[in-house]
Amino acid sequence: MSKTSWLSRLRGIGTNLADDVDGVLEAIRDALTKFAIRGFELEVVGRVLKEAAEIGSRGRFPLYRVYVLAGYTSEPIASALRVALLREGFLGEVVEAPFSAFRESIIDSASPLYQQEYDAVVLALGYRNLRPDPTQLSFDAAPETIMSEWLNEMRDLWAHLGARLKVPLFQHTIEPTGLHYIGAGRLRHGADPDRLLSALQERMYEAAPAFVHWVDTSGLAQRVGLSRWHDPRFYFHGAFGFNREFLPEYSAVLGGAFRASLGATKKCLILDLDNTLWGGVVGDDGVDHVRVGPDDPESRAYQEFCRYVLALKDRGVILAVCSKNEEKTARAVFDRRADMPLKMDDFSAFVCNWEDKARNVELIARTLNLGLAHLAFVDDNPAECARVAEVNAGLGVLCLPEDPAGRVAALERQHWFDTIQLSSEDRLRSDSYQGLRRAEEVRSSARNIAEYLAGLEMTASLYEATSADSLRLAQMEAKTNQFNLRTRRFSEEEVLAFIDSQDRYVLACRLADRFADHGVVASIVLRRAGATLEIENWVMSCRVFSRTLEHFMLRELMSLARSMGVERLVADFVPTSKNAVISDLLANLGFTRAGEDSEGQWVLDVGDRYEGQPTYIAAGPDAFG
Amino acid sequence: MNKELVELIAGVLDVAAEDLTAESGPLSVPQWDSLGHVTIVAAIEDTFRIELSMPQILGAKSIADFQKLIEENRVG
Repeated sequence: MSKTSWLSRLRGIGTNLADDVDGVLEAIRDALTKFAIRGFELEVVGRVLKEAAEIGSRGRFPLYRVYVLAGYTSEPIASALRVALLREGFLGEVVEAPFSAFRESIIDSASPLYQQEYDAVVLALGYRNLRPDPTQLSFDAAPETIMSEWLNEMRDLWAHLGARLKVPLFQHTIEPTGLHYIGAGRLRHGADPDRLLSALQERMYEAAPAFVHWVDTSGLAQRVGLSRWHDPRFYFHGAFGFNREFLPEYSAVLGGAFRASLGATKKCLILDLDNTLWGGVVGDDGVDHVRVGPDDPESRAYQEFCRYVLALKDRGVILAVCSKNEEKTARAVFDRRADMPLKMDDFSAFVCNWEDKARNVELIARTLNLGLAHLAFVDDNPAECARVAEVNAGLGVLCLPEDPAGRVAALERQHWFDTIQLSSEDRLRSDSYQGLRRAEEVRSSARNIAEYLAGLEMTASLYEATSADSLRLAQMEAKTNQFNLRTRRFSEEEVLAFIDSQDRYVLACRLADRFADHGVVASIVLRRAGATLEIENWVMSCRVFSRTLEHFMLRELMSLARSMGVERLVADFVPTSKNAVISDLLANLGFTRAGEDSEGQWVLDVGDRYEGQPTYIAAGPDAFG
Repeated sequence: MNKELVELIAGVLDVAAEDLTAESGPLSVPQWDSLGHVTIVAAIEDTFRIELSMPQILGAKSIADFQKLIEENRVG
């Protein structure tokens, strides 16, 4: 590949921007998935994307509008943002606040920030933007006083933003200065900048309102090395906040944060086996001789990769295997090798056969009830990776580097599993999917679906949500694409406001079966107007589809409506490209269209009795009925 | 003139390489603004594996200047 490959590539596709914006965007997006990009190339791509946003997509790339507040030159930030959004399928329209006027833009209610609707706001700050400047403190200054000054200003800015913004704020974490002055002697006494900054960040995590989503620039700066991250030449020359060599990595971190907010985080990691989870080919080398364990450098590298994968599972990522192998032989490594950190129980799907991997990935997606966009695939074989990427659009694909020692870092660089906050359901989720696999095994032995459902011994409860549920409910609002009646995407702040509101009701639904506690898997937001109860939104996690939970929920809802003295339920179904699975839901549940008009709302009268559809779920504690 | 350098600068500024000469610089090429200048520096540093000092960045006023800096830094 020539050194100027990205620039010449752009020349090739950039000439017909005005004629075919979507074609150009498609070509750039495709190239971004295939070729590494360097910092200055990303800035050039960013400029092309800026032009594209001015022309506008012809439909394939929805517009995503972001306002950028930066404490330093914002152009590189805007470029990284445009690239990150394009990777997710959006055309970013990025508006930049006047140079270094982030405080004024936030405080002034007449600032452009508040004059238009944006989808998100970015607050890009570095340590030089704090007042007082951490590098200009007296070593004798009282740490608590400085900390309060910083924190109070931040609280003040958040209060202004919170009063006027209805969208998430993506805010940089503040990286250390990397200055050590007198070495270790600075650590125990006095106002050392990096000691204070790390304490400040902890305090900001605690104090930040729910609309603040952190972009972990500090973590990135430390990974790439602070002495390289800070580039004083360009700070003095053009007020650049960090070395622009790292714009591609920065763009990936931004992408991870936005993906989490857009509900596009990867949920499942699909792994190859031979030369991926262990060195060697189990079919040739034998169960006892594949390389994973403490004995030699290569085995140690594979063992560490497996431990990393296990740690992902512990953090809520679902694991699956897709390998060309004899299943029995492959299982034996997990069952018999004590030095293999992963065990059969860690996988929610285990597909070993000699079929096309692209088809097997589809099979895994179906088994787990997940869309391809929520799956990620890793393999050491470039041909398999290319084939799978070609066939399975939307799937994340990483071809592992040959050196087993570089693989944890390669996987981390994808930022596939970035979340904004971790809820306890994330961790339950993996258990729940493993329960699903065991349930699938029961399914094949059950004679019919009724027996299968009855055999699950399910209990559920639909209850009024409290503030303790708000994080999980907002996550479901953000992530659920299939069973989502109106795709409203209520934020955590909105959910909290509904919980406190007089006319709104937020219901959460927990489900357990004899294999797993699935936690909170569905929710309904209701609005009461006189004798009418309107379903504002209804979401359900795809891992509990086809379990008659919607039937259970409606029964419970009818009891609630009856006890409230409500005469009718009304609802709306708003179709999207992903929620066709519930297009008949309201009709199936007994709702009818109001009046002649086939476009009208759906209505269900609340009588003394509700026949409804059968459910195999028993009411647990807290039920309304 | 170093052909690779000219093509690199042309790519960064989105102009035709044929329109650039050794004397081309911020004064003669409209796309060569201050942001363009620092992007050119980043591109040169990355492509030719050199690092320019701040005075060198400020002092470079043409493609010929950059070419000289590349040669000096390579030798040094």
